[in-house]
Amino acid sequence: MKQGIPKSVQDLLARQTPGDEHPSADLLNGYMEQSLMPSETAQVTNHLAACKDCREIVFLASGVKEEELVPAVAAAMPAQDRHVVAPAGQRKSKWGWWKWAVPAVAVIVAAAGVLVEQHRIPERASPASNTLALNYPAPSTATTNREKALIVEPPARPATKASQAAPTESKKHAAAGASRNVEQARQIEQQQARQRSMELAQLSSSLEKSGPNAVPGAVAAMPAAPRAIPAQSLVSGDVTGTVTDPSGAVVANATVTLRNNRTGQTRTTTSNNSGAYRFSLLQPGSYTVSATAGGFGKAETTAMISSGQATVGDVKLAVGSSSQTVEVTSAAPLIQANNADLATNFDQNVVRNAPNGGNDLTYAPKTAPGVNSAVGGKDQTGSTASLKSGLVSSGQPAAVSKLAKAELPHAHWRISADGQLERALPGTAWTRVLADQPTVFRTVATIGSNVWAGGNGGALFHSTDQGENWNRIALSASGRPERSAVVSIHFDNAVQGSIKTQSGVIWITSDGGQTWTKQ
Amino acid sequence: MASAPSSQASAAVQAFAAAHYAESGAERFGIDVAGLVALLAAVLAQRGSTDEAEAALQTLRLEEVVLARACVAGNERAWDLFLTRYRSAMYDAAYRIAHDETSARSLADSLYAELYGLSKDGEVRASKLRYYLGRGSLAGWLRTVIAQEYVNQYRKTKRETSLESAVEDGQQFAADNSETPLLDGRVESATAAELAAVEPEERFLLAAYFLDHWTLLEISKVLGVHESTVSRKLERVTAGLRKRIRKRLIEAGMSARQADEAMQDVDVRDLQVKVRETLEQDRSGLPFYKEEG
Repeated sequence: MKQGIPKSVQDLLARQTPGDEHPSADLLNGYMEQSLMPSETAQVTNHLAACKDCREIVFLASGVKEEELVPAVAAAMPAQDRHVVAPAGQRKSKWGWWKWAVPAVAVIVAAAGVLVEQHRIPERASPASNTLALNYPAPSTATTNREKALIVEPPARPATKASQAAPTESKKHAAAGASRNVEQARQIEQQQARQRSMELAQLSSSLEKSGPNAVPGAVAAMPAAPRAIPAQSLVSGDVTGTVTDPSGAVVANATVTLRNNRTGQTRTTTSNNSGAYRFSLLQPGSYTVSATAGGFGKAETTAMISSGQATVGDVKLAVGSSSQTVEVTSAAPLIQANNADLATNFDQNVVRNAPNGGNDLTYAPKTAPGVNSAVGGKDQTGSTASLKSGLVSSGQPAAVSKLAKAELPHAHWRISADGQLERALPGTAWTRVLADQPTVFRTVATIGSNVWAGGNGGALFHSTDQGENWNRIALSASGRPERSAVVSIHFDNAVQGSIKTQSGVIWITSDGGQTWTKQ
Repeated sequence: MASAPSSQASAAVQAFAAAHYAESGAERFGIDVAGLVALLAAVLAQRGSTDEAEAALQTLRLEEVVLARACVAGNERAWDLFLTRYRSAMYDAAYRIAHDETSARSLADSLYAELYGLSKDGEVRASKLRYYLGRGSLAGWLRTVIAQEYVNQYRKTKRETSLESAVEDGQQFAADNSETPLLDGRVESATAAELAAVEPEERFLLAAYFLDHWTLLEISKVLGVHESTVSRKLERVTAGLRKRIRKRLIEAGMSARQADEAMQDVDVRDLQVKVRETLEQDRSGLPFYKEEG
């Protein structure tokens, strides 16, 4: 403030002592999220005015809101959590159950931090609202199950050669004498982390979809995870380092093996694009770190791990012998052998962010391998079976049942004088809808078969089927739910709409109500 | 008569549980409607807000409370979900609070153990999650708990001041400060009276801004209002306080000039400058005054 406060006020403020007990974390958090009862808010405010410690807690906790967390999740996670991603089928059990239990949990968590958390509110609102499902069964197959993931389908794709290409890249770097560019490496790592997160989001969505037996490794790890947690507190150490070649250039994708010199147990990982590796949750003791990479001989170093410390174990590879075998292998992705369905998953970010002129929803599936548009009623194979969707996959017509809306009779809607939502189907009387809700409704709007109803307390309900089934939408921004009554709902078209609350706040959506943004 | 509110509350809980059972996610943890009713009743009782049960239920973070309670009960599926959703966020929050990886991990790990709630003998579980009562989000609660833990630890280490710095700060051989001029009694009583009349929220603003040196942005984040609103409020409160205290002082017999002097901001003579901390550049060498042998 320009003027400041008198010193006497400052002195007295500093001398204040709270007369009551410190409020619980639940109350403080409710205070920050403004979801307390008025009496509770008064109690907490009164305490905060006099308690420096609690103000400090509020200050610290409010400084790390969720929206700030999302981009930093990958960066702040323990390095091993970011690097260890192994297909379930390739794991070996030498290290015992916790060898993969913790990474597997971390793997799921990486997805959760970036995407699941983002999806949480839309998921609550509508089980399938944040997804797009297109299915392309083979001619003999018809799928009817409702799925969360977005499914188009590729034929078997050749494995990416990126992993084989990476060491060559870094050797070129070495030959050119390029020095390590830390900033660039960090960016690459972040990109990789993001990419992994997307892959993991797909994995987790397929886990939810397929039930507990879909990926035995990952799912079986979960129950064990809580037991693993206490084991990691303060009694373990890390070893981290960089794999370099004789010129000092970093070697990406080197296989790094860690051996416990006392027990002989081993763990393996690969160095990332900046040549770094990390093993976490190690019992203190003596370990041997060895690294190998194509074109280089094996190199070893010894590391002493101390509790709570990250020991540095850099490894410098020697140039290998002149005769060497370069073996290039590739493996096709796992193929569903039980039926002929193939699928490509698009997550929400792809649908939202991929360039898509004209916002044509069918554009996303067209980016999947093997999928084409049917031109002039016929696809490139001459089939006419796919007229309805205009899409063909590997020459086969695409099933469109999941995009088609059932034809429903047009209903009339009104809000009764006592705030009840009422519907009248053609030829029937007015009946109450959502009668089990205590909400006092204020407004109702329809767009096609979508019905939106809003009421007191920020209540918003959505039905996609003329009011047969409803989802409650939680309007919230920055973790703070909307509490003011929804008094007006307006949709310009199926995707663009706005809501006005009694307090004058406008919420808009540009995705058919999947997400609402406070203005 | 006494049972009337509680039966009313339990009716509200039952109706709420029946209406929101599906969205509560209780089914996946094997909790039936009756279980949900019991769970909600326990949460409300723990909150001590049975009188406002209906209002409390309207703002309850139902799904997250159910998840937390299922974790407390040791439900493995609930733990899976909890870890999936919150593990990385916890580490990240700890990192942002502690600003260094080792402390952050130690902070998050110790909280983890408390959340999992293993007692010393490993038999009885008393998960800290039982204190989550759904007033705000579970993620926010975790952040707050981490912040609490951090402040507690900081307070612990702060108490362990080295003798050296105690000497330097003059705490070890504190000067007799009986000669330090105290605030004029009139100033003190006028200030106390006016400060007591200030709304708690305004006192919070004053303390956060002038004592804790939060920025307007930081205050606005906590209060959920715009910075300019915070600024306006602060301006109004400080101006009002000054005016009213000055008036009281004049009423108490001070001249206008005396009153203005008494209300000067901070007197430079009162500033505590910690010379050692300000000047200290390098701790590796011995302090210059330290005597050999």
